Amino acid sequence: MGNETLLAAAASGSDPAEGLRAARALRELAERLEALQVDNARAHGWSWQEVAFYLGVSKQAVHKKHARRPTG
Amino acid sequence: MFERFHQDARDAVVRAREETSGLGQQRIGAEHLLLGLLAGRGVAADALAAAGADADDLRSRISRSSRGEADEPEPLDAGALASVGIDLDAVRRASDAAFGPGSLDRVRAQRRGRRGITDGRRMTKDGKRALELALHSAVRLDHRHISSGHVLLGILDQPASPAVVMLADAGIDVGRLRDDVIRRMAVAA
Repeated sequence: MGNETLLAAAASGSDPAEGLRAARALRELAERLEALQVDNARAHGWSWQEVAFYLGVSKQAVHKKHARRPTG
Repeated sequence: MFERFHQDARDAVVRAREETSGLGQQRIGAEHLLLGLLAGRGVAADALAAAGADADDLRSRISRSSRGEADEPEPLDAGALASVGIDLDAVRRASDAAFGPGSLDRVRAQRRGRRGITDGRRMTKDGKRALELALHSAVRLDHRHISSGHVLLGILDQPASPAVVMLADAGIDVGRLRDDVIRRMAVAA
């Protein structure tokens, strides 16, 4: 089954469990990608201000979320 | 520090990372390096096999010994992601290429309440030490490169580490294994 078909199936599916599970998995994936990208940006010497700009959040928000997170 | 590592030794480290995340653990220890060596080809794999080391047995020992070390990220739900068209393996490949093998499964996405258990180090102390000792043994034996055999020596030269204790518990004569590795490396050189 192609991705489009799967996407349509999930989007139009009426099973809440399936849909919620997908939403949760997407959120977790997005959080991890964000963490990896933030770590990378910081490793490249980016300021919190710059990171926040690209993430579309405030500097305070990004700092609070990522500054004390242990980096891999 | 990996420039002088032979491909078989690099592969072992990569597999050790995969084994670590496969076991739902955070940091690569010498025992995970053992698994990485066992699954590969070369002097270390041959010597370990000859000594009777078994990957499944070792894996279950590691798994048992680390009970309680549960501050791991949840595994990503590949099935749920596929249902909305995300190929997790493709994401993982991209992440591996950009940020190193296992990065997507290792990254701490959110700050946890329990800090200090995983302090961001990728390897445990004995894991790091094994690689340092691998370098030392290559220098000592006058070898230009670090092979899987040197990495195994680096592990075996820490007798009190969980990795060596696990080997001994599995009935492996560690001293004899060590001699065998050195002998095999001399033959291979």
